[in-house]
Amino acid sequence: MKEAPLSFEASAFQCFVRGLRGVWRDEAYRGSVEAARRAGSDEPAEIERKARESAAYQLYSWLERHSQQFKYYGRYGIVRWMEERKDELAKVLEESSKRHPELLQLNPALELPEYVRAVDTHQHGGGIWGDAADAFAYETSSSAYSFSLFNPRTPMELYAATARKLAPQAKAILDLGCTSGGSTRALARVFPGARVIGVDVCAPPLKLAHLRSLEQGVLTHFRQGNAEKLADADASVDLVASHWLYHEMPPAAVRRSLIEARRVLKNGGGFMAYDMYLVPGGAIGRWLQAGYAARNNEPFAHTYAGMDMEKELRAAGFTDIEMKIAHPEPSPEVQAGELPPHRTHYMTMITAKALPIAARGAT
Amino acid sequence: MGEKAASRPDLVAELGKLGERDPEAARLMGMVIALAGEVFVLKAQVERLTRAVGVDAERLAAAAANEGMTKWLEAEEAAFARSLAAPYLEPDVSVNATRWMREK
Repeated sequence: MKEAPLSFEASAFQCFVRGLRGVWRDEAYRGSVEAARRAGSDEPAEIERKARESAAYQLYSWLERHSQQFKYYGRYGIVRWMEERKDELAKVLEESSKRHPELLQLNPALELPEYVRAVDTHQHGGGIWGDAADAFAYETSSSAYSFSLFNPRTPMELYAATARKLAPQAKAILDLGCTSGGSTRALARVFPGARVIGVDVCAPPLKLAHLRSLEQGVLTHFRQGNAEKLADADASVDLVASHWLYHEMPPAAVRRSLIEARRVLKNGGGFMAYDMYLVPGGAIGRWLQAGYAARNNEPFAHTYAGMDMEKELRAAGFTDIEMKIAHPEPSPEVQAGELPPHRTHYMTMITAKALPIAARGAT
Repeated sequence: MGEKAASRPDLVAELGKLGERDPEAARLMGMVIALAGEVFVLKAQVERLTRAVGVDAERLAAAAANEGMTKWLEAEEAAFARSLAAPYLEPDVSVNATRWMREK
């Protein structure tokens, strides 16, 4: 099955939405930043109060909220397109689930957390957990273009290379929050002898992940499970990785997931999280990120960026913690804390090692 | 919340700042953009047809996938959206000259 089975008209419509995003990312963003600078405050709430008088910020906000709704639900929107083909897509996934069923472990009894069911993440009504159409829509949407218009696929190589460097001898690997499995397959390709398991709380994306792995001849395992309560035994895993996961979880769930990751990791095992965490640009950067979190229904992008991840990881039993902006490559100005010339969602790579249990009492 | 499109909520005006003080402005903006989306698609269809006039579906598909078409879409997606936003960001191109009407 084609990766993005959109018609010519639907593809053209997505070009139109990308054009809107270009205005959001460039002119409207720069006008908003100017308005924020005129506010002369270091408090995001005060910046917000003053900047809302700016026409550029009004346009920026409207585009941030509604361009996503056009992307999904416009006349040729991706979700609308997939929902019209829901039965056909469900049949495709049911058929593929019967092939190599030993590689796909679903758990119909698993209760989805409320923060998954109730948030309409990315303004996707019902989220990606509902049915086959939702899974295909998310895959198409996330592989087409991100909010900042960079190609979200590019970092897969970076993700896999970081994992390889962090835990070169890994034989048992978990890829948490794997959705349709692109990150899991990237890991499987660089760890050919390892058992790589993609874990996600939602069944439809896992079925799609299984289909894609079969199509690509990459025999990865997929398991429906919650990152807060993994099915793996204590000290049984060499590497726990996650790709765009923690910004979708509230802080208490992130903490439980870190503790759970440490529980299943062997002493000295690797932990990595690739996600939106470090936000350059000081108060204006934080203000923009909070607005994005609110307007695109990603509330935990805000709470995750506000967590002290170094402290949380240490508390969970990790050491050798490193974090840096990994994608897109930040300019020296951005590394120094300045805002970029275009609105950019920077991705942070966090890596750590599982502190040997015996050594934990000494820290 | 968390439901399918049929039960989506009404306009959440405070999130798209444009509609915070005047929700009708946000609705109108939505209509304008929806119309613009239709226009964009129509332009793409015309462009495709222009490239493939008088030919069969296979040639049409080939025209849609050819390099020239891709380049046209890339150029148009940026130019079209910017021209659309211009009346909002730069709503007037000339000064207010009415004070000269008071000239004695």
